[in-house]
Amino acid sequence: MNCRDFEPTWNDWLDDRGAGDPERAKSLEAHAASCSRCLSVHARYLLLSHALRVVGPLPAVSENFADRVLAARDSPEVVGIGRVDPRLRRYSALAAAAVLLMAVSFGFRAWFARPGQTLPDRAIVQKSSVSPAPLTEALAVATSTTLELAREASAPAARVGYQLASAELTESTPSTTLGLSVDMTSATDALQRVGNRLNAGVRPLEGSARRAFGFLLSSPRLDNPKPPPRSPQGA
Amino acid sequence: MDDRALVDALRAGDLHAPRLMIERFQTIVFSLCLRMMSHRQDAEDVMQESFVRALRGLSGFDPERPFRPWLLGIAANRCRTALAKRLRRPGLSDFVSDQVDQRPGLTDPDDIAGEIERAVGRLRPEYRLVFTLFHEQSLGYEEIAEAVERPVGTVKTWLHRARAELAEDLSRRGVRC
Repeated sequence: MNCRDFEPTWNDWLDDRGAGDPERAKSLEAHAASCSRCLSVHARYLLLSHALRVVGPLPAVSENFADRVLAARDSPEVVGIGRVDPRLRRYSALAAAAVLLMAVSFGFRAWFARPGQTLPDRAIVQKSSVSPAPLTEALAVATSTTLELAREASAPAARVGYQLASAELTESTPSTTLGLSVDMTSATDALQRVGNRLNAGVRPLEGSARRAFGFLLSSPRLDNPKPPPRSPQGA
Repeated sequence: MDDRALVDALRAGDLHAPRLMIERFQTIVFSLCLRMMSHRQDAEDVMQESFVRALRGLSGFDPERPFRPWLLGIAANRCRTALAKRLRRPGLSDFVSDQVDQRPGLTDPDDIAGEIERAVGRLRPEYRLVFTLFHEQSLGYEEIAEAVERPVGTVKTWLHRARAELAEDLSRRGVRC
């Protein structure tokens, strides 16, 4: 045996839990006797080996422990049931924003996919028997709110765009082919109606939509341009 | 009833099986929790949480696997979580001095048992865990690896380092055979 093998051999001996090969113990003794460096290691492991044999019994478990566990198992207050993991709580706002964004997307798609039809007042999301009730209700509320916002904000603009598109289709393609029922007869008529609406003050983004998404309107207002700065010389 | 039959009874909804399972494994789970937490009340709290989690999570347990390492693995995870929480708040351990015993040499078995318990308590949690599972619970390397979800090689390394640190600690504190 050499010094490198000395400690691993001691671990092999301890792995056998006192039932190891006696020859292995003798080889450890022999090497320790001939190597001053390993002698101290040998003394420490002998001490550990002895200490492992005298470790006392652990205290007993409380008598009613099983009853406590069974009571706790049936209680929702234990083991974090109902608690929100802090890591999840941290992202809850982000998750809510994502859900709202998805709802906005669905709302706009639903509106433009069904032109001319009245949107239902109540939420279009059906309760699922699989999804948890709170999430379903939250999604329904978010969707309903989004549809209301979309209707309020974009109905006039959508109506204008739809009339333009319908008029164009009417001029180029027979309406019966597309199955469209359009009362516009020409693009000129449509443009006239658009002009009337614009004159009446209809804007694509109005009211609450302008307040919510006004930051997207980065271009300067043209109806009230700021005067250019004067030069210091007044020239 | 062996462990496999017990698991089958639990999964089948046998009303007596949960109590039987708790009574069968509470000693080894308590032993592990007490070694890890070094505090009786904390150990019982963690043990209770471990059993409740095990009972509630039985549907996700593969009955082909041995039950004991799975249960001890849950307890080990709960202990780690509880220890991490304990580290985040100041406790008595911050004020207790860890001085070497100045007596000529501890030879009383009770003293030695107390010394090794304290020395085990000073090990890093992962070393303490594998040391306890091996030397007190008599689990093999494979079972420990399953319980702590680490390769066997890692478990061996941790156990060998735990032994080396314990041997050094006991020697430094003047314990004699």
